[in-house]
Amino acid sequence: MSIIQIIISVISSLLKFGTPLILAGLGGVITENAGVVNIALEGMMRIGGFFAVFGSYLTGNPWYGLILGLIAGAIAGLLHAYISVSLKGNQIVSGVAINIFALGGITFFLERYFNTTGHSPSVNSFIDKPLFPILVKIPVIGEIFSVMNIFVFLAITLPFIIHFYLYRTSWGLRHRSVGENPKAADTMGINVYLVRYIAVIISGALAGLSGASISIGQLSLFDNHMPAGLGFIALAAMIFGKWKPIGTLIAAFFFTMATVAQIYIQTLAPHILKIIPRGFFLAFPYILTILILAGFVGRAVAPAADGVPYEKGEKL
Amino acid sequence: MNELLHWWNRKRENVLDFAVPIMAILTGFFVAAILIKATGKSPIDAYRLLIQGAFGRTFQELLSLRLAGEGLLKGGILALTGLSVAVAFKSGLFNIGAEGQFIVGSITAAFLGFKLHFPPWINIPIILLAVILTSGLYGALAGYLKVKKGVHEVITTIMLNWTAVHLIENWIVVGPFNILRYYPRAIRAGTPYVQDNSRLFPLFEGTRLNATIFIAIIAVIVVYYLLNKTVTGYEIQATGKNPEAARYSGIKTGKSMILAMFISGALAGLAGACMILGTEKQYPGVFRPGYGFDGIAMALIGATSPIGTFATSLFFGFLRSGATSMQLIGIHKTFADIIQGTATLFVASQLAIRYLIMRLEKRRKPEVKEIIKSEVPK
Repeated sequence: MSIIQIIISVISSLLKFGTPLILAGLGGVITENAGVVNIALEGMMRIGGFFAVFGSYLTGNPWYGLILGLIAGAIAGLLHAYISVSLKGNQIVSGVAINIFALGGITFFLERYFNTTGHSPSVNSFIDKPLFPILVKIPVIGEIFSVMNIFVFLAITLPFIIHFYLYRTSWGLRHRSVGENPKAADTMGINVYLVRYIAVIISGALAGLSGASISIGQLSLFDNHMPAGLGFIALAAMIFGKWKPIGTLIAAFFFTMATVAQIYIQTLAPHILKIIPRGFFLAFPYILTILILAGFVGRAVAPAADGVPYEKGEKL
Repeated sequence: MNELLHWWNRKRENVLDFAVPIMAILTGFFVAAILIKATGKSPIDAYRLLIQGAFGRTFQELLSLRLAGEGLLKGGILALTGLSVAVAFKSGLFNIGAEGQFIVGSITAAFLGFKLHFPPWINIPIILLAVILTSGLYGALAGYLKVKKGVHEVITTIMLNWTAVHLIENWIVVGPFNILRYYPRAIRAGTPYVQDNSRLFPLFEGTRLNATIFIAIIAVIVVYYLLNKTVTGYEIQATGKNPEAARYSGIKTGKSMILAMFISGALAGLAGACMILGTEKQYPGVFRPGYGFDGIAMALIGATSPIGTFATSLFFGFLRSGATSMQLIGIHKTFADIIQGTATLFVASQLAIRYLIMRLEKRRKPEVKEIIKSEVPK
C-alpha cells in the first residue's frame, strides 16, 4: 500500500468507527447544555441499536429501522426526562437505572423475538449503501465516499448544525441559559422544564441513532454485547470536547484514532505492539480524559447548572 | 386520626426506609410477572420454581444448603459490592467505579494467589490485605481527584473502570501474566490457576458455598461499627449529609471523602478476590460479571445502610440462584438479566414513591416546608 492509500483508508476507518461516538456525544452535548446529565447514553444506544435491527427485520427496509431506533432512543430519553426533570430524581441514579434496564430488557427482547441471546439474524442495512454513489467512482478519494452512508453523513454535518443552533440562534441561547442558570432563564420567561424535556428527548434520539449506526450502519445485526462501552467513551469525548459540538466531533475522532491506530499497527507493524501492548492504546482515551479533567492538560468546565434539578419557585 | 398523623410525622423516615425498598421490590416482581405472562408462561409457576430453585423443595434440602448455598454465595459477593457503593454514598460520593475496583482486586488476588506459597492461614490474609490496599488505592484515586482537582467522581470512576478493563484484559492477562507463560500447553485463556493454599474451599459437601459469606458478614459488621460508632464514621456521614456544615465544624471533609473511597474500593476489591479465590480459581480471559454495577442497585434499594444493603443482597442472591431453575418451564436463564432490569425499576420507583409521598404531604399541609431527602447525594 502506498502512503496515500493508507491515509485514505485511515480516514475512511475514522469516519466509519467515529460515527457512533460523534452521534452519542452530540446527544450528551445537547442534554448537558440544558443542565441534565445523561450517563444513560450507553443504554439508549443499546435500545436504539436493537430497535433499528428490529424495524429493519419487520419491514425489510433499513430506513424504517433507523426511524424505529431513533424513536426508541427518544422514548428512553423521555423516561430519563420524566425522572430527572419532573420527579427531580437524581439524574445519575436515573441514568444508571436506564443502563441496567437496557441491559436486561434488550436481552429479553432478543430472546423473545429472535430466540437467541447471542446476535440477531442479518437484516437489510446501510452497508454498501453510500449516500453519494457517484462520488465513490472518483479515483483515490472514492473510498472515503464508499463508507459515507446516512449515519456518517449526519455525524459530520450535525456538529456544525448544532453549533450554529447553540451559539448563533436565540433558541440556542435560551437552551444554554437553562443549563447555566435556570433561575435567571425562568425569570426571563423561558420554560425551563420544557427546554430540558426537549433536550433530553433529542439526546435520547441521537443516542438511539448512534446505536442504529452500529447495528445497521456498520453491521447488519444486533449483537448482545452492543454497544460495549461506546456510550461511555462518547461521554468522555463530550467532556474532552468541553461540552461543545465541534469539540466533541474532534474528540471523537481523536478517541477513534487510538482504536484505529491499534488495528492498523496490528496489521502493518505488529512488532510495535510488542513494545506498547494493545491495552495501552485502548486505555489511552480514558487516561487522557482523567488527566484533562484533573487540569493536567487544559481545563474542562461543565455548564454551571449541569446535573442540578430545577425546582420552580424555590428560594436560593 | 390525629394520633396517626403524629405517629406518621415522628416515624415517617423509619417507615419510608422500610416501605420503599419493599414496595420497590414488589413493583419489580410485578413487572417481571407481566413479562413472563407476555411470553405465554405462567408467572405463578415461574415464581414457584424460583423459590424451589433458591431454597429447595423440602426442609432437608434447605438445610443441606445444596441450593441455598449458591444464593448465600452470590448474596455475599453482592453484599460486598453493595457495601462498597453504600460507604461512598455515606460520604456523599457516587462510586460507579465498583466494577473497576472489583477487577483490580480480582487480578491482585489471581496474581498473589498464584505466587504465594505460604500455608493457607498466612496466604489468604496476605492476599486479602493486598487486595484491600490495591483496590482501596484505586478507589481513593477517584476520591483524591475529586477533593484536590474538583473532578466529578462519576466521570473519573467511569474512566477508571475502562482503564482497568483495558490494562488488565488487553495487557496483563494476555501478556506478562498469561497462563501460557507458565504452562505453554494450557488450553484455557486467562491467568494461571491460584495455589490450593490460596483457595477458599467449599464449606460443605456438594455446595459451592465458601468463606465469602463470612467475609461479607464481617465486612457488614465492620462497616456498621465504623460508620455508627467511631469518630471517623461520624465525620464521613457528616461530610455526606452537609459538607459545608461539616467543614465549618472542623471536619476535614476531603480526608473523609478520600477515606470513604478507599474503603469503598477495598470492599469492591474483596468481592473480586472472593470470586477468584473461591469459584473462578484464575482470572479468566474476560471477567466482567457485572457485580460492581449490581452493587449500585443493592446500595440504593438497601437505602445505603449496611444492614439494609446486606439484606437486599441476600435477597437478590437467592433470586439469582433460583432464577436458573425457571428454565424448567422454558423461561430462559436470561431471566437473571431481566432481574437486573427490574432492579432498575426498584431504584427509579424508590425515587418516585418518595416524591409522591412528599407531594401528598405538601398538599395536605401546605405549611410543611421540609422536603423528604432520599439518602442519595445530589
